Amino acid sequence: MDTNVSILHYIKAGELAVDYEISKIEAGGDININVKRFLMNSPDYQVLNKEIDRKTKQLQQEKEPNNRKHLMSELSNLHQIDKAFKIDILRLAKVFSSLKARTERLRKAIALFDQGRFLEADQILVETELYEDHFNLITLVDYLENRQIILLNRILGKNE
Amino acid sequence: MNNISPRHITTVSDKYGVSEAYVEIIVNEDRLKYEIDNIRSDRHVNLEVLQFIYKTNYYSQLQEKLTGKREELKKVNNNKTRIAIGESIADIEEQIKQYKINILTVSHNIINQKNTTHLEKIKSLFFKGRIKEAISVLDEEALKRTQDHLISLSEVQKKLEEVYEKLVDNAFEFLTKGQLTILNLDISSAENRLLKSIEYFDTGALAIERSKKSSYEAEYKFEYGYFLQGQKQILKAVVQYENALNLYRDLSGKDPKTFRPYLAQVLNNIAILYADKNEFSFSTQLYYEALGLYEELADQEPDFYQQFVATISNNLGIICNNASRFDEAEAHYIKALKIRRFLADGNPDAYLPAVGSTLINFGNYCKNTQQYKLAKKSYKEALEIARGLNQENQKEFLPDIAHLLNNLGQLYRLTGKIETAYISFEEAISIYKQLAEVDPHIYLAFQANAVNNLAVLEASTNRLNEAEEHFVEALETRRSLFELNPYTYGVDLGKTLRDLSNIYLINKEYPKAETNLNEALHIWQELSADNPAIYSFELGQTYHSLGSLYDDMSEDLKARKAYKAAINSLEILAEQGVQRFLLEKALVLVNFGNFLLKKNEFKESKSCYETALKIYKSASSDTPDVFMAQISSVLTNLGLLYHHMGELDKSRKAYEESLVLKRSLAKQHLESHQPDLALVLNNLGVLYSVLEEQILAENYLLEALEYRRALTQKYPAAYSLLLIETLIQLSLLYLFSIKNDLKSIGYLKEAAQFCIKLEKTPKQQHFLHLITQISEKQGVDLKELINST
Repeated sequence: MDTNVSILHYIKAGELAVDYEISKIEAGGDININVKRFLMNSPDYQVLNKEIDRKTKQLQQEKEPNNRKHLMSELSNLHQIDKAFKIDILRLAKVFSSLKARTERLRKAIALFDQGRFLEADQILVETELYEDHFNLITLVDYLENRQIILLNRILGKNE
Repeated sequence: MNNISPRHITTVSDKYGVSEAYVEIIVNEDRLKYEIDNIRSDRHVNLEVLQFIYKTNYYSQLQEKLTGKREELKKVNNNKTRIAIGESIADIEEQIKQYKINILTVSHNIINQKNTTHLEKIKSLFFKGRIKEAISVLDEEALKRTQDHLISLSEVQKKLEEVYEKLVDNAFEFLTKGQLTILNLDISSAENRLLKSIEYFDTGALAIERSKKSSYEAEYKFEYGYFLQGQKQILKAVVQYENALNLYRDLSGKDPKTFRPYLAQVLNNIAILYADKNEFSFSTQLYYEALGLYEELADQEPDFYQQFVATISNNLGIICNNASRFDEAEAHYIKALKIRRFLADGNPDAYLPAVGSTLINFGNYCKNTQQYKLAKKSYKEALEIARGLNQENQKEFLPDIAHLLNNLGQLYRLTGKIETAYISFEEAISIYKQLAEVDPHIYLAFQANAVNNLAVLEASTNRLNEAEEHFVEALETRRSLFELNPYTYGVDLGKTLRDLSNIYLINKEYPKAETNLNEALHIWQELSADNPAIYSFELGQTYHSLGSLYDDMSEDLKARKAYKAAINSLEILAEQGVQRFLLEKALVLVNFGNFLLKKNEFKESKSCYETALKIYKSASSDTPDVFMAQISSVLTNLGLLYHHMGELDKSRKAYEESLVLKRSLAKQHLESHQPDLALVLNNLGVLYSVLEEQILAENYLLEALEYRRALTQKYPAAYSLLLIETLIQLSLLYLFSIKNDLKSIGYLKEAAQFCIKLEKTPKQQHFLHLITQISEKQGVDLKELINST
């Protein structure tokens, strides 16, 4: 199996029309072979895929009507998640293919995403660090903008 | 060089209280140099210049000093002292000369300086001649302080710029975090994932707004909108897209080359959202603006932007088709196809699927507008493309092939290519079954749909047993899907139940038909309780079918109640002008009108027909061809009604109007419209018989006979009784009006021969009775008549 399926490369090279693929999934159709390979290489997608396989096998072996009904409902729910998951991945890939990563964290997150390691990509962007940066920057910008006004007033000879 | 335009000279002169002549000199370097040379050379100096210099405070001080020295000189006799004083006078005179030159030079310099608070004050004092005070404004300490502030400000601004950049970074990290969170299935529910994502996006939005980087802010808002659109948060997505739109409009005003592509993209995305909200008019407006931008961009960079022109044209085609703006739809599809075909010639891998998809849309449009030949051509070409792509792409396009075969099957059915329709449906079903083996969650629904379509085809060709079998097969699949997801599959289940009930109705298996329809009714009632806008249509249709069933069962009260319930269910949205509802309401009105006609409730029946006719005529105002069949059928019914009411002239007019339309329809597709054409001809023949216009009556009945013979030959079960009806009418016409017994007996014999072969039904018995009566009138024995050669 090809282990180097870069979905971002296919999009950037114009070899994968994301909106077309999404419309196919939404219409209940199949997906592009390269997207399939990308997903098959994704450890995170495999978790979902294995769960679907497990439930499908369980359903095939189950004979009791009520249990079957329950399993079918669970399976249907999983298929809905699967469909939404694929669409979300494609939409995100489209965004990442054109996004200029300006920080090292972002570059790493996008690279991990492109390897199908979605959870790790998410973990690179540590929530507490992001919020800490955010609040520090907002505090700093408040201070600097205020200072700027004071200095401008002084230069213009206005009362502070 | 003159830095102040002539029109500003007056303004400057007024502002500082200096003469215009002086301003003209000090702003003009050549004139300034000339006056300075005059001063240096003790030549005549311009009077305006001197007047300005004289009013300055230092000039009078220097003058006083000079006058003092001259007075002193007058009082001194000692030569040595006189020489020293004379040198002092010369020195002061030189100072005055230099002072004059300085005043002119400073005047020139400060008049051209950019105004600051300090400088403004200085200028004001200087031009009033208050040189000393002007100098004091620029005291060293104050200047030093200002300089320090400026340095601090510059540092603060540099730091701010860095912080703004970091805010952009922070915003896009939050944006990415928000997007990745939606993929984090460890978060328990989709709703929680979405809430968390939105929290990140909103924090990022705060950072981007504070960054004061409008191009990044526009990009951020666009991506946020795109994310929300993907999560079906339509209203929230519109807000973000509109923010991005405003920013991009502003940016592209300043830098069109860079930002117009983005502006076009955001317009396109908002247009999609408004189309999803069924706001077609606004959506179309946005699409047209985006199209205009992409066309301009494509003029400059066709290789890149043509694809976008094609995409928007394709989308506009879909929207215009849905809004019944058919001419526009056709033009857009043709344009999209032309571009996509051109692009596919250069890069088939990238663009052939897009050609296929536009062909499917164009096919749907053609089917909608009853351009069946063109629709078939489009679907067939799309099928060929899908089959080609499928060979190259490991069966990726197999679903497309099945969908197209299914569409083609429906089209072949509509155009009477029955055998080809069978082949298409059967291949589609076979592919769906193959696909459903691997992905039942996706393809079982499609499989059931194709099986249902096959059953509809079988029902329409009187293969009722096969139709029943396939409807039951589709029903079983749809029942199991319905149990999994009632909201998604309820519609399909309800439809199959109704279709199957029609078969039971034809087979006179009324209890089975009633059970199915009641089950369907129960489904629609539950669904429409939650969402009347969507499901009351199906509810109305099911009441309609129940009305027809009870009508057939002669349960008049129940029939009347069901028809009225159907009209009520369709009423609300029909009143809002939703065309689908209006058309279905028209159909119910026609059938209810037929029911009332049978009950001799002529006034009510007429009202039903007339309302239906009004609906069809209004719906066909833009595209007269589309509802021609319906309009002509209502006119036929009205003709019959007026005949019953004894208003024979009105009846004739309605029939004649209907006949013109039927002939036009039959010209386009004889097979589909032959039965209706025969009906109008037959009814007109009967009417003219009553009106004693034998030649017209004979002509119309003979033409009707020709069509009904052809139909009976093909479908004896469906048309034998109608053929008998025309034969009897002809027999009567020849017997009583034209007085040609031979012909009368000939047609009577043919009628009798068909009639005795038919199963006993009330109608068959009625005709047999009539035939017997006519034969008695002719003095002919019926049995002999039938057996005679």
